Amino acid sequence: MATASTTIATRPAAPALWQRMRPDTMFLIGTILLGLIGFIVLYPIILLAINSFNVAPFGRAEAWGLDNWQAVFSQPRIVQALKNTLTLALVRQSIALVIGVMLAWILARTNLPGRRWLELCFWFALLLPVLPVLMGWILLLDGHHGLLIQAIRQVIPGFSFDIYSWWGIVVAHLMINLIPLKVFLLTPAFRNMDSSLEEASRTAGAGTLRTLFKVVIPIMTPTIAFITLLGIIRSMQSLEIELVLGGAAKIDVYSTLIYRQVLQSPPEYGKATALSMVVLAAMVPVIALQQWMVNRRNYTTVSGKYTNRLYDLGALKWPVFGIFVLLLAFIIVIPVVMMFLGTFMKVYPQFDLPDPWTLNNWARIIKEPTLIKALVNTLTIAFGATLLALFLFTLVAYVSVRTRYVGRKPLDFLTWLPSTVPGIVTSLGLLWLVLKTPIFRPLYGTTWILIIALGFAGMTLGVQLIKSSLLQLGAELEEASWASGAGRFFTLRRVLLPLIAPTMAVVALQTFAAASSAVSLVALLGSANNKPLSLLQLEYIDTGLFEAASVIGVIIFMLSVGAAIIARTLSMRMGLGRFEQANTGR
Amino acid sequence: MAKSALHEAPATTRKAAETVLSLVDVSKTFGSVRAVDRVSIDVNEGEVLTLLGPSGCGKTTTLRMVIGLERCTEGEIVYQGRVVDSARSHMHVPTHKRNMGMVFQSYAIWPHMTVFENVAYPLRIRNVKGDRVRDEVRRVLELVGLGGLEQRPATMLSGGQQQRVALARSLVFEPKILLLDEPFSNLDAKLREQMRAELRILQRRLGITVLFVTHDQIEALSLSDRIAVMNAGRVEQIGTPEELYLQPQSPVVRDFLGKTIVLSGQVTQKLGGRRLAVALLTGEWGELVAGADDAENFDLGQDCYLAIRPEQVQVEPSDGGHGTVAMHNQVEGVIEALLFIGERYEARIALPWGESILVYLEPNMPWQENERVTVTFPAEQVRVWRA
Repeated sequence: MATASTTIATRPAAPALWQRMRPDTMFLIGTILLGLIGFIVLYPIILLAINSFNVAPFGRAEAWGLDNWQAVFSQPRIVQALKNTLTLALVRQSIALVIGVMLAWILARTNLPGRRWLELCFWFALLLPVLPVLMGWILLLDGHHGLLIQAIRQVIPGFSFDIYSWWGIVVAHLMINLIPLKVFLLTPAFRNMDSSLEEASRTAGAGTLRTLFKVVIPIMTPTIAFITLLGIIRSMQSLEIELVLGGAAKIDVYSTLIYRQVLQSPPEYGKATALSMVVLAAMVPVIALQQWMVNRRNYTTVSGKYTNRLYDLGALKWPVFGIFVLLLAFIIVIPVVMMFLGTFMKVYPQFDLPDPWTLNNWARIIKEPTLIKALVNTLTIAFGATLLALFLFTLVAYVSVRTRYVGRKPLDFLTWLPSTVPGIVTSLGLLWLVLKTPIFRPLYGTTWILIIALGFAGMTLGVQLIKSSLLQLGAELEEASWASGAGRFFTLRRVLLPLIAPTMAVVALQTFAAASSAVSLVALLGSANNKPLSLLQLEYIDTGLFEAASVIGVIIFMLSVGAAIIARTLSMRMGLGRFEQANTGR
Repeated sequence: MAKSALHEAPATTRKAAETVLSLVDVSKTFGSVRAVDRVSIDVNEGEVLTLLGPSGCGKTTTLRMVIGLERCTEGEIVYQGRVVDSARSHMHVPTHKRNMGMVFQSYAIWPHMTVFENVAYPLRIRNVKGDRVRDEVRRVLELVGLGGLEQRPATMLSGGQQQRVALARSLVFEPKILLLDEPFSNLDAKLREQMRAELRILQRRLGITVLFVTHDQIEALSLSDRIAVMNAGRVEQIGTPEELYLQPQSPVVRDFLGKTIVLSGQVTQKLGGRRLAVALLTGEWGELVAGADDAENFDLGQDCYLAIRPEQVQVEPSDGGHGTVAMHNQVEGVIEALLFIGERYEARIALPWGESILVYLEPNMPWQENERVTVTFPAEQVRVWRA
């Protein structure tokens, strides 16, 4: 019944050659992204691999050999550092996992009062800059003068604990970032689990604990394993806590060793590079395992159709709430208060002086000639990295979720790499990049190289966040815009970006907070010219000037808090936030 | 745009069918799956053409190729005399250059915009300026019955209102064709009927061409000028709703549109003209007289099926008597189950050879379960199909 007779006469001539040859814009953008990210992420690693065989002393012509590698496996200090790296990571990850699973389950699956706010507090804790908070902890847990230590000694005379120790490093890690991070990652996963599975177990006669161990944890095993893996990878990123706490106790980990080898004079680039490669090689199976899990991970537990009935804590409700509040007080409030107090102390951390308080630290820092420069550098770097990250992550997420670009898989793989390469290794790799590649040499000592390092650093989490929020938007929202006559970029700007504005604000905030307090990523790239506040603070700590360092810490802290307020305000004004007022008024 | 489609089309000026959209041997393969298989359809100006079929039959893929969200792997699509997609010449006009209106299944109302902003969006892209935008948006909102809701945030609309906004947004730039992808499937039953009628009235007033995708036969039958029934990627039959319902050309069309009672049999006698006598295979219950368009092409002894619509089966209280179908296509049966559904009864009637059929009974008679009834299959309504 349907015929084509009318169409043959009206068919126009075949399209011109240029029309057929015109490359697809999305293909072009995808390929540029792939090339750019591939270069920034992979090329430094290749340089490291090559230069680990360069045995010439710094500044001499290259000479090749295996000496660096031999040193890594034979020098007792290096071997001990690798051992410390491993044991510290395993112990603190195991403790964090157990605590994290319990806290996350309580937050997600019970009727704990104020659970949404408590969860938000854990996320906020993740935004706190590590070094400044660490300074607060030193005031609490210093072996002689620490306030908390002294308080415990009132109760248990002879109690002894020092933050400058192996266990001190573990405790600092747990409180400053591990517990908040585990809770942050695990809570949504527990929340999305279908509660009818739990209820079925209870109906079958199993108690709460048995249900937790026989049903909940087995179901959550893939997620928990994945988060554990992320935790181990992240452990390798750590530098500043070990640097500050391990220095006095003579505990080295691999990252502090690289830091010292590069910054000592003359620098031992060769050994540092070989050490980086050893750690990176050790990470390869972990990365492979992680990629395997990413690819096979199914989202069945996160299906749209689930019931989420909460477990009634009953009489335990308020005691458990009390524990949470106390924990968060120790994670956020007390260290931050201590950090502020520390800036007014004559001698850090001696509270027992006759007159311990002074304003001199502030006066001195404000007069410090490098301060303004460092502040400007930090702001430049943090804003620059945030803009770069937003632009880059959004494009990458868009290409991999909403287009059929052929290179989506490799692109996706590349976004996982920055989180698996330890910061200090990236820093060293980028250092090689600017030193050894003539066209990039002008970048040395500029804020640009720091912007690049920090903009790419949060790629894994940032891209994942934007991707998942894009996936939540039905494809038809975008298709309706095309059907209305809007092209891809107009649609991206007017429809998609406003709708994912809240997520972008979170990504921006995380990038900004991480960039303004970053240490390990920028440690080897800083120079007198581009040095940000975080490195200035580290130098003060390293030379024992804790009082001055704590003032800088407070400034960094204020920057993060300010960024959080700005991000929240902006995201409220954009996208759906516009109607929030109207909705609540209804 | 001056003589706008939003202004009502005088019925008298409707010209004899001019093709707005043609699909010529269009196919789409996903990997090894042939989702759409050599589909050829012409959509004429001013008509509502419906793609009807079960889920997975390729109807939505076909629609997505028309709007340009998918590319065809074979064949070509011509819109207003212009090739918009051709597998052979690698020609492809992107979605946003096609100028077709489309209402999506989820409505795809942008939640961060007001009703006004949603509807004005296509005009802004076309660089329509200030006052014109306001006037056009107001007119089209009046048309879909949403006048005065301009400043309402899109998140505060009911399902029916969202659908009207989606409709307004797809009409505001006056496209030559409107594509509808299962637009009623997210509405509750009552609203669905209301919107169906409104859409029909609106389409008649505007005289706009509509390509409509649905799996709901009632929607298809009631809204369409013509229906293309699709199955397994192919068009089974195209025709008016009446043609398809009364003269289905294939078992798929027959069974998809309305309910059908199917009995197995064997041709025993040619009675001349379109008439055949068919023996029921289920025993010695006699013969039914039935019709087939190509009765002369059947062989004696050939296996066949007999098909009849339930509403064409006549049921009367039994006067006792015959146990076979030997006379007048009649048979004795027993009402097994009786369901009152308002305007009629639905009854399962057990036939003497053990088969049960579903038929409709008049509501104003005192039917009883286990009652004996006489079932008549009018010879002119029973069709013979090849087995």
